[in-house]
Amino acid sequence: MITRENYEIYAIDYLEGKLDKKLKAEFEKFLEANPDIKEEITGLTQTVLSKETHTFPEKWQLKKSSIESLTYTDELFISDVEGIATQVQKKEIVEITKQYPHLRNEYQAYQATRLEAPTVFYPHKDKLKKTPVEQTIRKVLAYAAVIVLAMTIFTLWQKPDKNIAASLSIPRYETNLLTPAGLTIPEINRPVVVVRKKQEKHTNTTSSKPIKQKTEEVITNISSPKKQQTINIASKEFCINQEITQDIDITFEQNLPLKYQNLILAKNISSTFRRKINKWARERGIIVSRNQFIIRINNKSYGISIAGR
Amino acid sequence: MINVDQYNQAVDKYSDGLYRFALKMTGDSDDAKDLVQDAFEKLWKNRKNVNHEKIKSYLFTVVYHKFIDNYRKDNRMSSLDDMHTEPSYTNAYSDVMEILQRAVDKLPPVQKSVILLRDWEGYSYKEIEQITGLNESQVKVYIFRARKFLRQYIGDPKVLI
Repeated sequence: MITRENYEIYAIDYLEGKLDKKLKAEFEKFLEANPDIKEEITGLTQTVLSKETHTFPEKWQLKKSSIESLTYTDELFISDVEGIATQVQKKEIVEITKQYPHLRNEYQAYQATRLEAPTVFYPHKDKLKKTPVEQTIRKVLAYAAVIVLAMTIFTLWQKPDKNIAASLSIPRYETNLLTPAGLTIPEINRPVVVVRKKQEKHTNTTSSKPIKQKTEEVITNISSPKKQQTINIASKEFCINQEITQDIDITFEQNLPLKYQNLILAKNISSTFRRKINKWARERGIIVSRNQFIIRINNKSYGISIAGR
Repeated sequence: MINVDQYNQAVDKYSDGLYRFALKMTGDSDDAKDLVQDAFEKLWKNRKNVNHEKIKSYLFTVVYHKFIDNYRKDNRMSSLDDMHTEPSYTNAYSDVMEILQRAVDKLPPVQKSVILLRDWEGYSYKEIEQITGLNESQVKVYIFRARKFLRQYIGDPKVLI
Protein backbone atom coordinates (compact mmCIF):
# COMPACT_ATOMS: atom_id res chain seq x y z
CA MET A 1 0.00 0.00 0.00
CA ILE A 2 1.32 3.42 -1.00
CA THR A 3 1.47 5.93 1.84
CA ARG A 4 2.98 9.33 2.40
CA GLU A 5 5.89 7.53 4.10
CA ASN A 6 6.82 5.20 1.26
CA TYR A 7 5.55 6.95 -1.89
CA GLU A 8 9.10 7.98 -2.94
CA ILE A 9 9.99 4.37 -3.61
CA TYR A 10 7.30 4.26 -6.29
CA ALA A 11 7.78 7.82 -7.53
CA ILE A 12 10.95 7.20 -9.58
CA ASP A 13 9.57 4.07 -11.22
CA TYR A 14 6.37 5.95 -11.98
CA LEU A 15 8.31 8.74 -13.65
CA GLU A 16 10.36 6.25 -15.70
CA GLY A 17 7.20 4.34 -16.66
CA LYS A 18 8.39 1.16 -14.94
CA LEU A 19 5.40 0.57 -12.69
CA ASP A 20 3.03 -2.18 -13.68
CA LYS A 21 -0.58 -1.35 -14.41
CA LYS A 22 -1.89 -2.15 -10.93
CA LEU A 23 0.76 -0.12 -9.10
CA LYS A 24 0.50 2.72 -11.59
CA ALA A 25 -3.26 2.96 -11.00
CA GLU A 26 -2.74 2.81 -7.25
CA PHE A 27 -0.01 5.48 -7.39
CA GLU A 28 -2.19 7.81 -9.46
CA LYS A 29 -5.05 7.30 -6.97
CA PHE A 30 -2.63 8.19 -4.22
CA LEU A 31 -1.58 11.38 -6.07
CA GLU A 32 -5.20 12.40 -6.46
CA ALA A 33 -5.66 12.02 -2.73
CA ASN A 34 -2.49 13.99 -2.00
CA PRO A 35 -2.41 17.15 -4.20
CA ASP A 36 0.82 18.48 -2.64
CA ILE A 37 2.68 15.30 -3.59
CA LYS A 38 1.11 15.38 -7.03
CA GLU A 39 2.52 18.86 -7.55
CA GLU A 40 5.92 17.70 -6.40
CA ILE A 41 5.90 14.72 -8.81
CA THR A 42 4.76 16.93 -11.73
CA GLY A 43 7.72 19.17 -11.10
CA LEU A 44 10.04 16.19 -11.24
CA THR A 45 8.74 15.08 -14.62
CA GLN A 46 10.06 18.29 -16.14
CA THR A 47 13.61 17.30 -15.13
CA VAL A 48 13.57 14.03 -17.19
CA LEU A 49 15.49 14.50 -20.45
CA SER A 50 13.67 13.41 -23.54
CA LYS A 51 15.55 11.16 -26.07
CA GLU A 52 16.60 12.98 -29.20
CA THR A 53 16.77 11.23 -32.57
CA HIS A 54 20.04 11.72 -34.39
CA THR A 55 21.08 9.67 -37.43
CA PHE A 56 24.69 9.45 -38.49
CA PRO A 57 24.75 10.34 -42.17
CA GLU A 58 26.24 8.01 -44.83
CA LYS A 59 27.19 5.14 -42.60
CA TRP A 60 28.08 3.22 -45.77
CA GLN A 61 31.14 5.42 -46.10
CA LEU A 62 32.53 3.90 -42.91
CA LYS A 63 31.80 0.33 -43.87
CA LYS A 64 34.40 -2.03 -45.26
CA SER A 65 34.04 -4.64 -47.95
CA SER A 66 34.35 -8.27 -46.95
CA ILE A 67 36.35 -8.87 -50.14
CA GLU A 68 39.86 -7.60 -50.44
CA SER A 69 40.47 -5.06 -53.23
CA LEU A 70 36.78 -4.08 -53.37
CA THR A 71 35.19 -1.03 -51.79
CA TYR A 72 31.98 -1.32 -49.81
CA THR A 73 29.96 0.24 -52.62
CA ASP A 74 31.55 -2.20 -55.10
CA GLU A 75 30.41 -5.08 -52.94
CA LEU A 76 26.99 -3.50 -52.50
CA PHE A 77 26.43 -2.98 -56.20
CA ILE A 78 27.77 -6.40 -57.17
CA SER A 79 25.56 -8.04 -54.56
CA ASP A 80 22.62 -6.40 -56.29
CA VAL A 81 23.78 -7.68 -59.69
CA GLU A 82 24.17 -11.13 -58.17
CA GLY A 83 20.72 -10.96 -56.63
CA ILE A 84 22.00 -11.55 -53.12
CA ALA A 85 21.61 -8.04 -51.66
CA THR A 86 19.69 -7.91 -48.35
CA GLN A 87 16.82 -5.48 -47.70
CA VAL A 88 19.15 -3.22 -45.70
CA GLN A 89 21.66 -3.21 -48.56
CA LYS A 90 18.91 -2.43 -51.07
CA LYS A 91 17.86 0.59 -48.95
CA GLU A 92 21.47 1.73 -48.87
CA ILE A 93 21.72 1.43 -52.64
CA VAL A 94 18.62 3.56 -53.07
CA GLU A 95 20.00 6.25 -50.73
CA ILE A 96 23.45 6.22 -52.28
CA THR A 97 22.31 6.35 -55.88
CA LYS A 98 19.84 9.11 -54.98
CA GLN A 99 22.41 11.34 -53.34
CA TYR A 100 25.48 10.72 -55.45
CA PRO A 101 25.18 10.82 -59.26
CA HIS A 102 28.69 9.41 -59.83
CA LEU A 103 27.80 6.37 -57.70
CA ARG A 104 24.58 6.02 -59.65
CA ASN A 105 26.72 5.70 -62.79
CA GLU A 106 28.88 3.16 -61.00
CA TYR A 107 25.81 1.16 -60.10
CA GLN A 108 24.62 1.22 -63.71
CA ALA A 109 28.04 0.14 -64.93
CA TYR A 110 27.93 -2.87 -62.63
CA GLN A 111 24.48 -3.73 -63.91
CA ALA A 112 26.01 -3.87 -67.39
CA THR A 113 28.50 -6.58 -66.38
CA ARG A 114 25.87 -9.30 -66.63
CA LEU A 115 26.99 -11.58 -69.43
CA GLU A 116 24.54 -12.65 -72.07
CA ALA A 117 25.05 -16.13 -73.41
CA PRO A 118 25.61 -16.20 -77.17
CA THR A 119 23.88 -18.86 -79.22
CA VAL A 120 26.34 -21.57 -80.15
CA PHE A 121 25.61 -24.95 -81.70
CA TYR A 122 27.75 -28.01 -81.20
CA PRO A 123 28.32 -29.32 -84.74
CA HIS A 124 28.72 -33.08 -84.17
CA LYS A 125 25.85 -34.11 -81.97
CA ASP A 126 25.10 -37.21 -84.04
CA LYS A 127 28.60 -38.52 -83.47
CA LEU A 128 28.09 -38.29 -79.73
CA LYS A 129 24.84 -40.18 -79.71
CA LYS A 130 24.62 -43.90 -79.04
CA THR A 131 22.29 -46.43 -80.60
CA PRO A 132 21.25 -49.78 -79.15
CA VAL A 133 22.72 -51.53 -82.23
CA GLU A 134 26.04 -49.86 -81.67
CA GLN A 135 25.97 -51.05 -78.09
CA THR A 136 25.38 -54.63 -79.23
CA ILE A 137 28.19 -54.45 -81.77
CA ARG A 138 30.54 -53.09 -79.16
CA LYS A 139 29.65 -55.91 -76.81
CA VAL A 140 30.15 -58.56 -79.52
CA LEU A 141 33.51 -57.05 -80.48
CA ALA A 142 34.56 -56.97 -76.85
CA TYR A 143 33.65 -60.65 -76.38
CA ALA A 144 35.39 -61.57 -79.65
CA ALA A 145 38.54 -59.78 -78.54
CA VAL A 146 38.52 -61.67 -75.27
CA ILE A 147 38.08 -65.00 -77.07
CA VAL A 148 40.91 -64.26 -79.52
CA LEU A 149 43.17 -63.26 -76.66
CA ALA A 150 42.32 -66.41 -74.75
CA MET A 151 43.00 -68.57 -77.81
CA THR A 152 46.33 -66.86 -78.43
CA ILE A 153 47.41 -67.44 -74.86
CA PHE A 154 46.24 -71.05 -75.04
CA THR A 155 48.16 -71.62 -78.29
CA LEU A 156 51.35 -70.17 -76.86
CA TRP A 157 50.88 -72.25 -73.74
CA GLN A 158 50.62 -75.42 -75.81
CA LYS A 159 53.90 -74.79 -77.69
CA PRO A 160 56.97 -76.80 -76.63
CA ASP A 161 59.19 -74.85 -74.31
CA LYS A 162 62.04 -75.04 -76.78
CA ASN A 163 60.09 -73.28 -79.50
CA ILE A 164 58.83 -70.61 -77.15
CA ALA A 165 62.34 -70.03 -75.92
CA ALA A 166 63.58 -69.86 -79.48
CA SER A 167 60.84 -67.44 -80.50
CA LEU A 168 61.74 -65.16 -77.60
CA SER A 169 65.51 -65.31 -78.09
CA ILE A 170 67.33 -62.35 -79.56
CA PRO A 171 69.82 -63.22 -82.31
CA ARG A 172 73.17 -61.64 -81.66
CA TYR A 173 73.43 -60.09 -85.14
CA GLU A 174 69.95 -58.68 -85.12
CA THR A 175 71.13 -55.29 -83.92
CA ASN A 176 72.75 -54.80 -87.30
CA LEU A 177 69.46 -54.91 -89.11
CA LEU A 178 68.43 -51.92 -91.14
CA THR A 179 65.62 -50.64 -89.01
CA PRO A 180 63.04 -48.25 -90.44
CA ALA A 181 63.07 -45.01 -88.46
CA GLY A 182 60.85 -45.04 -85.40
CA LEU A 183 59.68 -48.61 -85.89
CA THR A 184 60.26 -51.03 -83.04
CA ILE A 185 58.86 -54.49 -82.69
CA PRO A 186 58.47 -56.18 -79.31
CA GLU A 187 60.63 -59.24 -78.95
CA ILE A 188 57.64 -61.52 -78.48
CA ASN A 189 56.32 -60.61 -81.93
CA ARG A 190 59.22 -62.01 -83.86
CA PRO A 191 58.13 -64.45 -86.55
CA VAL A 192 59.27 -68.03 -86.24
CA VAL A 193 59.77 -70.30 -89.22
CA VAL A 194 60.14 -74.01 -88.71
CA VAL A 195 61.83 -75.97 -91.46
CA ARG A 196 61.24 -79.64 -91.83
CA LYS A 197 63.91 -81.19 -93.92
CA LYS A 198 62.99 -83.80 -96.45
CA GLN A 199 65.42 -86.67 -95.88
CA GLU A 200 66.48 -89.54 -98.03
CA LYS A 201 66.63 -92.97 -96.56
CA HIS A 202 70.24 -93.43 -97.59
CA THR A 203 72.31 -90.79 -95.92
CA ASN A 204 75.52 -92.73 -95.50
CA THR A 205 76.99 -91.39 -98.71
CA THR A 206 78.35 -88.33 -97.04
CA SER A 207 81.99 -87.57 -97.28
CA SER A 208 84.34 -89.32 -94.93
CA LYS A 209 86.63 -86.32 -94.72
CA PRO A 210 87.34 -84.89 -91.27
CA ILE A 211 84.86 -82.24 -90.43
CA LYS A 212 84.89 -79.14 -88.32
CA GLN A 213 82.61 -78.72 -85.35
CA LYS A 214 80.09 -76.47 -87.05
CA THR A 215 79.83 -78.67 -90.08
CA GLU A 216 79.45 -81.72 -87.93
CA GLU A 217 76.42 -80.31 -86.32
CA VAL A 218 74.81 -79.56 -89.65
CA ILE A 219 75.53 -82.98 -90.97
CA THR A 220 74.22 -84.57 -87.83
CA ASN A 221 71.00 -82.74 -88.25
CA ILE A 222 70.79 -83.64 -91.90
CA SER A 223 71.43 -87.28 -91.30
CA SER A 224 68.76 -87.59 -88.67
CA PRO A 225 65.33 -87.72 -90.35
CA LYS A 226 63.46 -87.14 -87.08
CA LYS A 227 65.26 -83.94 -86.11
CA GLN A 228 63.98 -80.57 -87.08
CA GLN A 229 65.82 -77.33 -87.44
CA THR A 230 64.32 -74.10 -86.35
CA ILE A 231 64.94 -71.08 -88.51
CA ASN A 232 63.99 -67.70 -87.25
CA ILE A 233 63.23 -64.97 -89.70
CA ALA A 234 63.31 -61.62 -88.05
CA SER A 235 61.73 -58.80 -89.95
CA LYS A 236 61.01 -55.30 -88.78
CA GLU A 237 57.98 -55.29 -91.01
CA PHE A 238 56.32 -58.24 -89.30
CA CYS A 239 54.02 -57.34 -86.50
CA ILE A 240 52.49 -60.71 -85.80
CA ASN A 241 53.74 -64.14 -84.91
CA GLN A 242 54.20 -65.99 -88.17
CA GLU A 243 55.11 -69.61 -88.39
CA ILE A 244 56.03 -71.07 -91.77
CA THR A 245 56.85 -74.73 -92.26
CA GLN A 246 58.82 -75.59 -95.35
CA ASP A 247 60.17 -78.91 -96.60
CA ILE A 248 63.57 -78.62 -98.21
CA ASP A 249 65.20 -81.34 -100.30
CA ILE A 250 68.86 -81.67 -99.33
CA THR A 251 69.72 -84.69 -101.49
CA PHE A 252 71.84 -82.59 -103.79
CA GLU A 253 73.88 -81.03 -101.01
CA GLN A 254 74.69 -84.33 -99.47
CA ASN A 255 76.54 -85.40 -102.59
CA LEU A 256 78.77 -82.35 -102.59
CA PRO A 257 82.15 -82.07 -100.97
CA LEU A 258 81.72 -81.19 -97.34
CA LYS A 259 83.17 -77.68 -97.59
CA TYR A 260 80.45 -76.71 -100.11
CA GLN A 261 77.56 -78.40 -98.40
CA ASN A 262 76.92 -75.65 -95.93
CA LEU A 263 76.99 -72.84 -98.47
CA ILE A 264 74.80 -74.60 -101.00
CA LEU A 265 72.37 -75.66 -98.32
CA ALA A 266 72.20 -72.06 -97.19
CA LYS A 267 71.48 -70.85 -100.70
CA ASN A 268 68.81 -73.51 -101.08
CA ILE A 269 67.13 -72.52 -97.86
CA SER A 270 67.51 -68.85 -98.69
CA SER A 271 65.89 -69.06 -102.11
CA THR A 272 63.11 -71.29 -100.81
CA PHE A 273 62.33 -68.94 -98.00
CA ARG A 274 62.59 -65.85 -100.10
CA ARG A 275 59.82 -67.17 -102.28
CA LYS A 276 57.83 -68.09 -99.24
CA ILE A 277 58.38 -64.73 -97.60
CA ASN A 278 57.61 -62.82 -100.77
CA LYS A 279 54.36 -64.72 -101.09
CA TRP A 280 53.58 -64.07 -97.44
CA ALA A 281 54.30 -60.38 -97.80
CA ARG A 282 52.39 -60.06 -101.07
CA GLU A 283 49.29 -61.51 -99.47
CA ARG A 284 49.48 -58.85 -96.77
CA GLY A 285 50.46 -55.98 -98.97
CA ILE A 286 53.81 -55.60 -97.24
CA ILE A 287 56.94 -54.66 -99.15
CA VAL A 288 59.99 -56.44 -97.81
CA SER A 289 63.60 -56.28 -98.80
CA ARG A 290 66.01 -59.11 -98.32
CA ASN A 291 68.11 -56.98 -96.01
CA GLN A 292 65.29 -57.11 -93.54
CA PHE A 293 65.68 -60.84 -92.93
CA ILE A 294 68.08 -63.00 -91.09
CA ILE A 295 67.74 -66.73 -91.29
CA ARG A 296 69.13 -68.62 -88.37
CA ILE A 297 69.54 -72.32 -87.75
CA ASN A 298 69.62 -73.50 -84.17
CA ASN A 299 70.64 -70.09 -82.97
CA LYS A 300 73.85 -70.18 -85.02
CA SER A 301 74.48 -68.50 -88.33
CA TYR A 302 76.69 -71.05 -90.12
CA GLY A 303 76.97 -68.72 -93.03
CA ILE A 304 73.25 -68.91 -93.70
CA SER A 305 73.09 -65.23 -93.03
CA ILE A 306 75.44 -64.69 -95.93
CA ALA A 307 73.05 -66.52 -98.16
CA GLY A 308 70.17 -64.62 -96.63
CA ARG A 309 71.64 -61.37 -97.78
CA MET B 1 22.10 -44.83 -63.87
CA ILE B 2 21.57 -43.39 -67.34
CA ASN B 3 20.05 -45.25 -70.26
CA VAL B 4 20.64 -44.63 -73.96
CA ASP B 5 17.61 -42.35 -74.33
CA GLN B 6 18.60 -40.19 -71.40
CA TYR B 7 22.15 -40.01 -72.72
CA ASN B 8 21.01 -38.98 -76.20
CA GLN B 9 18.63 -36.42 -74.74
CA ALA B 10 21.55 -35.01 -72.78
CA VAL B 11 23.48 -34.66 -76.04
CA ASP B 12 20.61 -32.64 -77.55
CA LYS B 13 20.07 -30.60 -74.43
CA TYR B 14 23.53 -29.82 -73.12
CA SER B 15 26.11 -30.19 -75.89
CA ASP B 16 25.52 -26.63 -77.21
CA GLY B 17 25.94 -25.00 -73.80
CA LEU B 18 28.90 -27.19 -73.02
CA TYR B 19 30.50 -26.35 -76.35
CA ARG B 20 29.85 -22.62 -75.81
CA PHE B 21 31.50 -22.83 -72.40
CA ALA B 22 34.45 -24.86 -73.69
CA LEU B 23 34.86 -22.54 -76.67
CA LYS B 24 34.99 -19.48 -74.46
CA MET B 25 37.43 -21.11 -72.08
CA THR B 26 39.83 -22.46 -74.70
CA GLY B 27 39.35 -19.95 -77.50
CA ASP B 28 39.84 -22.80 -79.99
CA SER B 29 37.02 -24.71 -81.66
CA ASP B 30 38.97 -27.96 -82.03
CA ASP B 31 40.04 -27.96 -78.40
CA ALA B 32 36.48 -27.15 -77.40
CA LYS B 33 35.10 -30.03 -79.47
CA ASP B 34 37.62 -32.38 -77.89
CA LEU B 35 36.55 -31.27 -74.42
CA VAL B 36 32.89 -31.81 -75.22
CA GLN B 37 33.58 -35.19 -76.76
CA ASP B 38 35.69 -36.27 -73.79
CA ALA B 39 32.96 -35.17 -71.40
CA PHE B 40 30.28 -37.20 -73.16
CA GLU B 41 32.58 -40.20 -73.50
CA LYS B 42 33.25 -40.06 -69.78
CA LEU B 43 29.55 -39.71 -69.08
CA TRP B 44 28.84 -42.78 -71.18
CA LYS B 45 31.57 -44.82 -69.51
CA ASN B 46 30.32 -43.85 -66.06
CA ARG B 47 26.62 -43.95 -66.94
CA LYS B 48 25.99 -46.58 -64.27
CA ASN B 49 27.23 -44.24 -61.55
CA VAL B 50 25.74 -40.92 -62.69
CA ASN B 51 22.33 -39.74 -61.57
CA HIS B 52 20.37 -38.60 -64.63
CA GLU B 53 19.34 -35.43 -62.76
CA LYS B 54 23.00 -34.50 -62.37
CA ILE B 55 24.03 -35.00 -65.98
CA LYS B 56 24.48 -31.32 -66.78
CA SER B 57 26.66 -30.52 -63.79
CA TYR B 58 28.59 -33.77 -64.37
CA LEU B 59 29.39 -32.66 -67.92
CA PHE B 60 30.42 -29.17 -66.86
CA THR B 61 32.54 -30.64 -64.07
CA VAL B 62 34.41 -32.84 -66.54
CA VAL B 63 34.96 -30.01 -69.02
CA TYR B 64 36.08 -27.59 -66.29
CA HIS B 65 38.62 -29.96 -64.75
CA LYS B 66 39.89 -31.16 -68.09
CA PHE B 67 40.39 -27.56 -69.18
CA ILE B 68 42.20 -26.67 -65.95
CA ASP B 69 44.46 -29.73 -66.32
CA ASN B 70 45.31 -28.79 -69.90
CA TYR B 71 45.88 -25.18 -68.90
CA ARG B 72 48.27 -26.21 -66.14
CA LYS B 73 50.21 -28.38 -68.59
CA ASP B 74 50.43 -25.64 -71.19
CA ASN B 75 51.10 -22.77 -68.79
CA ARG B 76 53.37 -24.19 -66.13
CA MET B 77 54.81 -20.79 -65.27
CA SER B 78 51.62 -18.83 -64.82
CA SER B 79 49.06 -19.13 -62.07
CA LEU B 80 45.38 -19.80 -62.60
CA ASP B 81 44.73 -16.46 -60.89
CA ASP B 82 47.00 -14.38 -63.08
CA MET B 83 45.35 -11.51 -64.90
CA HIS B 84 46.16 -11.44 -68.58
CA THR B 85 46.23 -7.70 -68.72
CA GLU B 86 45.41 -4.56 -66.82
CA PRO B 87 41.90 -3.23 -67.26
CA SER B 88 41.50 -0.85 -70.14
CA TYR B 89 39.59 2.38 -69.95
CA THR B 90 39.71 3.31 -73.60
CA ASN B 91 36.67 1.56 -74.91
CA ALA B 92 34.65 4.50 -76.11
CA TYR B 93 32.38 4.08 -79.11
CA SER B 94 32.17 0.30 -79.00
CA ASP B 95 29.32 -2.01 -78.23
CA VAL B 96 29.21 -2.86 -74.55
CA MET B 97 28.62 -6.58 -75.12
CA GLU B 98 31.54 -6.75 -77.49
CA ILE B 99 33.76 -5.08 -74.93
CA LEU B 100 32.49 -7.39 -72.24
CA GLN B 101 33.34 -10.41 -74.35
CA ARG B 102 36.87 -9.08 -74.81
CA ALA B 103 37.08 -8.38 -71.09
CA VAL B 104 35.98 -11.92 -70.22
CA ASP B 105 38.78 -13.31 -72.39
CA LYS B 106 41.25 -11.43 -70.27
CA LEU B 107 40.05 -12.89 -66.99
CA PRO B 108 42.15 -15.55 -65.28
CA PRO B 109 40.80 -19.06 -66.02
CA VAL B 110 39.09 -19.71 -62.69
CA GLN B 111 37.37 -16.32 -62.59
CA LYS B 112 36.32 -16.78 -66.17
CA SER B 113 34.88 -20.20 -65.46
CA VAL B 114 32.86 -19.16 -62.45
CA ILE B 115 31.38 -16.06 -64.04
CA LEU B 116 30.44 -17.98 -67.19
CA LEU B 117 28.82 -20.70 -65.14
CA ARG B 118 26.99 -18.02 -63.18
CA ASP B 119 25.78 -15.78 -66.02
CA TRP B 120 25.51 -18.17 -68.94
CA GLU B 121 24.33 -21.29 -67.18
CA GLY B 122 22.60 -19.64 -64.23
CA TYR B 123 24.27 -21.87 -61.65
CA SER B 124 24.03 -20.98 -57.96
CA TYR B 125 27.13 -20.51 -55.85
CA LYS B 126 26.53 -23.94 -54.36
CA GLU B 127 26.32 -25.60 -57.76
CA ILE B 128 29.46 -23.80 -58.95
CA GLU B 129 31.15 -25.00 -55.79
CA GLN B 130 30.30 -28.58 -56.72
CA ILE B 131 31.45 -28.18 -60.32
CA THR B 132 34.73 -26.43 -59.63
CA GLY B 133 35.64 -27.94 -56.28
CA LEU B 134 36.12 -24.45 -54.82
CA ASN B 135 34.32 -23.59 -51.59
CA GLU B 136 31.29 -21.28 -51.64
CA SER B 137 33.08 -18.21 -50.32
CA GLN B 138 35.87 -18.70 -52.87
CA VAL B 139 33.26 -18.85 -55.60
CA LYS B 140 31.75 -15.60 -54.35
CA VAL B 141 35.13 -13.87 -54.15
CA TYR B 142 36.08 -14.98 -57.68
CA ILE B 143 32.77 -13.76 -59.08
CA PHE B 144 32.95 -10.40 -57.30
CA ARG B 145 36.52 -9.85 -58.46
CA ALA B 146 35.61 -10.81 -61.97
CA ARG B 147 32.76 -8.29 -61.99
CA LYS B 148 35.05 -5.63 -60.62
CA PHE B 149 37.46 -6.33 -63.48
CA LEU B 150 34.68 -6.27 -66.07
CA ARG B 151 33.34 -3.05 -64.67
CA GLN B 152 36.75 -1.42 -64.88
CA TYR B 153 37.28 -2.78 -68.37
CA ILE B 154 34.10 -1.34 -69.81
CA GLY B 155 34.92 2.09 -68.38
CA ASP B 156 32.07 4.57 -68.50
CA PRO B 157 29.03 2.83 -69.95
CA LYS B 158 27.57 6.19 -70.97
CA VAL B 159 30.16 6.62 -73.68
CA LEU B 160 29.37 3.19 -75.11
CA ILE B 161 27.07 2.98 -78.04
